[in-house]
Amino acid sequence: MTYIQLEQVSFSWPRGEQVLKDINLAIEKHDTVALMGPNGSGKTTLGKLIIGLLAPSAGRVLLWGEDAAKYSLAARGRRIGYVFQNPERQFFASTVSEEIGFALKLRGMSPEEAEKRVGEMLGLFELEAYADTFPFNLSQGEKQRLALAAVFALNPEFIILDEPFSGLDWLRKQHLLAMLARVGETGVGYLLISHDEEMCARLCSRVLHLEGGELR
Amino acid sequence: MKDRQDFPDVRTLLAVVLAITSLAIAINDSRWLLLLLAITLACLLAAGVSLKLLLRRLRRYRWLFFIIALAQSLTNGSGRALLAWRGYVLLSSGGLLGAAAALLRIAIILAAVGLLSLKDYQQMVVGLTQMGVPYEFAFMVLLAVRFIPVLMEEFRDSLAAIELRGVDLKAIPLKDKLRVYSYLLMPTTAGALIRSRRIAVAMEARAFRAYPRRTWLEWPRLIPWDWLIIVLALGGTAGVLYLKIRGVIA
Ligand SMILES: Nc1ncnc2c1ncn2[C@@H]1O[C@H](COP(=O)(O)OP(=O)(O)O)[C@@H](O)[C@H]1O
Ligand SMILES: [Mg+2]
Repeated sequence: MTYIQLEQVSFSWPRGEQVLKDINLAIEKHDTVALMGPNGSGKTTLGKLIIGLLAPSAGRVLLWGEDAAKYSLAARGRRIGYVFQNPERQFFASTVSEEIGFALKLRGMSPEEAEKRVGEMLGLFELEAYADTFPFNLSQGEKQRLALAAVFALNPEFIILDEPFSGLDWLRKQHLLAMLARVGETGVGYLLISHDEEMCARLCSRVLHLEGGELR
Repeated sequence: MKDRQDFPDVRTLLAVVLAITSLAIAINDSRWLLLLLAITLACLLAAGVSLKLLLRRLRRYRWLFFIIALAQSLTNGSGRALLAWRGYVLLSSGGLLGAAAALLRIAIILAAVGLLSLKDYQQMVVGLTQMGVPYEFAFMVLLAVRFIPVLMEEFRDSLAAIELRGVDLKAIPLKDKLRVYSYLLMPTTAGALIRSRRIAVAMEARAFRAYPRRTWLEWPRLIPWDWLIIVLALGGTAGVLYLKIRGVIA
């Protein structure tokens, strides 16, 4: 059974511009895949089709061997983590710890367990110093790390990351690289959307190129 | 300050929109509404508004059209019954006419407002100021109107982002649901605050309100054609309203 599969998937915006044409793609659970392509080539669109924020205009997305249309956003989100291109898009809480912990509690984890998990994530993503900071006041690199920590805390089997390196300087990139490598070592697969050739080559075993709406 | 003639002026357009919308609200007779729609479309064509763009915008409101038409035809039972169920009149000729009138009315208003798309935001602010509206007020109102769709989109995105964390909004207890909605207000409000702070900084950087009086790059003047149209639009509307009060037209 293929973990994520796209069959002849096309996508057009309601106004008619076609972004993706007949995409076929199979990703296994432990795959580390890079998705590259010029600005506006439809990388974000492809990620959103997989996670269900957009629905294909034609073709099917299959998750875990079944038509993904039958899964709710929450059902997909329980197994696949999604980190937005703009991390602010996914922040809700008034502190960094709360941001990491609130979904855990809403999903029924006991407060003690949740607190322990939050502590681990703060450590793993080097955010201890900011535990009580308002997420919107973090720097770009810290925001990226928090977005990753909040998603990773939920123990996803697979993560989709949309341009996590954008806006980071060389040093911050190296940090994030190390963290993603750690994520990969825990056996979690990912789809890394990025322009950064070096990062893609170092983090991923497979590189996809999206151009003119088609995968190469 | 440059004196520039830019026909039609914002004030002319506002007068025409005001005239058309008040007529659309006042008139009930479908035939007169049809005529008004024709006049409105003629104005749009004459002014050079793309009807294709307009249609696209009307399409966005198709649910509104449908619901209003349905409500009209269900609640208005006058005239001949066309469809009845157990003695209830579901659809009558009066209801059908009422629905047609309601649809025409919205189409006219939306089309008339389309006239304003000829002017950009800056021109609207200048136009409103020239009509005596305080500048800051005109500016803020137009700014707020422009951001409503953005805020709505952000709220929808945030809702999706919470569900993507595996939280099933339908399945959680009410207490938690309320907490989630209070969470959702955070990013939307923070986004709005951050955006307005950015705009404020940008405005101050451009010396907004640094001096008590503003100097305008363009201060359009009304040409005789503008005056003619304003007088015709307002006078015509007054005339039709008079006829309506006298009961000559419905
Ligand atoms: N909400 C939207 N409505 C219409 N077009 C959009 C929207 N979002 C993105 N697009 C267009 O879809 C195309 C693909 O966008 P995207 O997937 O974001 O590209 P990428 O992530 O590769 O930069 C672009 O041409 C973009 O302009
Ligand atoms: Mg993108």
